[in-house]
Amino acid sequence: MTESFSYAPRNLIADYLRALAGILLSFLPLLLLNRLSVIVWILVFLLFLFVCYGMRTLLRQVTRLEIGETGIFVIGPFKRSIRWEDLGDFRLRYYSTRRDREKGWMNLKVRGKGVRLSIDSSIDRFDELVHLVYAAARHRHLVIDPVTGRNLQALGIHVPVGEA
Amino acid sequence: MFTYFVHRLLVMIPTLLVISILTFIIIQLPPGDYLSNHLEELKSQGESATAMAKIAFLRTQYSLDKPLIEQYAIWMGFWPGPEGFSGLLQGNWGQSFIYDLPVREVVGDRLGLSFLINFSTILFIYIVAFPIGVYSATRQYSIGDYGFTLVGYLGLATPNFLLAMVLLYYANVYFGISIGGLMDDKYLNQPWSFDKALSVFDHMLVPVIVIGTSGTAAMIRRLRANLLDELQKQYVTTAKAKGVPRLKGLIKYPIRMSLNPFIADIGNLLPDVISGSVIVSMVLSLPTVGPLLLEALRSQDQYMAGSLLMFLALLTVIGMFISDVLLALLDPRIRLSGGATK
Repeated sequence: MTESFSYAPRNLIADYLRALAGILLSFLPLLLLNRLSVIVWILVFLLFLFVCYGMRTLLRQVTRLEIGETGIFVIGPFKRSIRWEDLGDFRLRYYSTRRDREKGWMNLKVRGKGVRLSIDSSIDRFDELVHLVYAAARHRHLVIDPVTGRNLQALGIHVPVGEA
Repeated sequence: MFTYFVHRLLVMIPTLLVISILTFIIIQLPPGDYLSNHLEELKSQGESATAMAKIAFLRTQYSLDKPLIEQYAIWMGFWPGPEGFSGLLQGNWGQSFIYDLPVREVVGDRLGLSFLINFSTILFIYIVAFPIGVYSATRQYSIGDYGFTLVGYLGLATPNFLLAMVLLYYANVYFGISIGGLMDDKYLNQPWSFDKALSVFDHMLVPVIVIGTSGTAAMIRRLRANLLDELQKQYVTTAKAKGVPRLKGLIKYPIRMSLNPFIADIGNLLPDVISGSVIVSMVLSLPTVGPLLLEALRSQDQYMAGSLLMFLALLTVIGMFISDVLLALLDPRIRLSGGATK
């Protein structure tokens, strides 16, 4: 059975708003500048960055992930896939900038046959997605690093002793 | 990580805007301005009407006769002034009333020298504090630890400017040398050359040590305390019991964990070092922006004070940004509590 995952609309709306705010905040001052200066270059760099961010958000909106019995497939403008028999690396990381390590985000990285996929926890049903990919990784007898093991446990996924 | 990077950048822009508003309000808070004070001075000296007319002209020229909001918008470059859109945003730092020169010209090399001194000081703090902090924590209550603790407390308790004065005195009395200034006198107001750069590096050691002493002492104490906390945790005991080599068991997790405040402090260290260096710069006659800022604030030279304060704020915000991004990368990346993620 194939499961489909996509980025939650509420997160995408917030990202679009951020991109728009960033584009406006870096583009409007550019209109007031009448000569080339360091500030112009900084603003152009920021504008480029926010445009990239907006495009990435758009890409996320039109992309969905499908996980089936044969592998993980990215369906969208940039199609990629990793078949389970090619799965070579599985890493789950948690990033937080707060001292209490709350309000952070997770990132799942899977690699296989030259293809690398990076999936953020802002995707809908991230826990379920991790569960499915981990099941495939276990089936492939992949070595799970201790950090990934602890993060899997934090998501409520049982990791047998000695496996991580 | 890209999302976080963008979020932090996005927060920086309104932060700087709010800082610019606060800076403008603060420099406007004292009653009157430089020109009105100067006008009073001229009146008391019985100066001619020409001088007064000149001041009236300057008031219009620098938009000091306009409402505060308009003055702010012109200063920032959001609103056209007498010279069109020409404010901080356009790279125009305004005019210094004291020197009757553009602020950019008054500041000149001082900005670069300030940056060099402050950057070197931060580097000095990290290079000295890190090994001492680790040594003190791994050899708690040893003679070395007590010695460094004593030196640390002395460093914390001694005001920077006092240390500068003591060093000035002893260098002069015992070695017959003057350690003031940031270069030999013959290089003052000269174009940059290799010899001038060497002279700057020669003179930098003393100010860097003087400005960095208290920061180093504080950093040693913090690193020692954090590392001690980590070393007493169960995973370290388990690692030792399993025969993990001492150095590996130290570097792998405890040091990484205790580095967090080290990195988090970049943002705080920058303004601390800069403000701490103002009085030291006065004592040691260093050509940095500190004494200029003090002079500008005292004489209500609003454009110079405002521009310098904005520059310091920008450095702080950039420091915070760097420390936040580094923290996200340095974190051991383990989620301690369960539950849904973002």
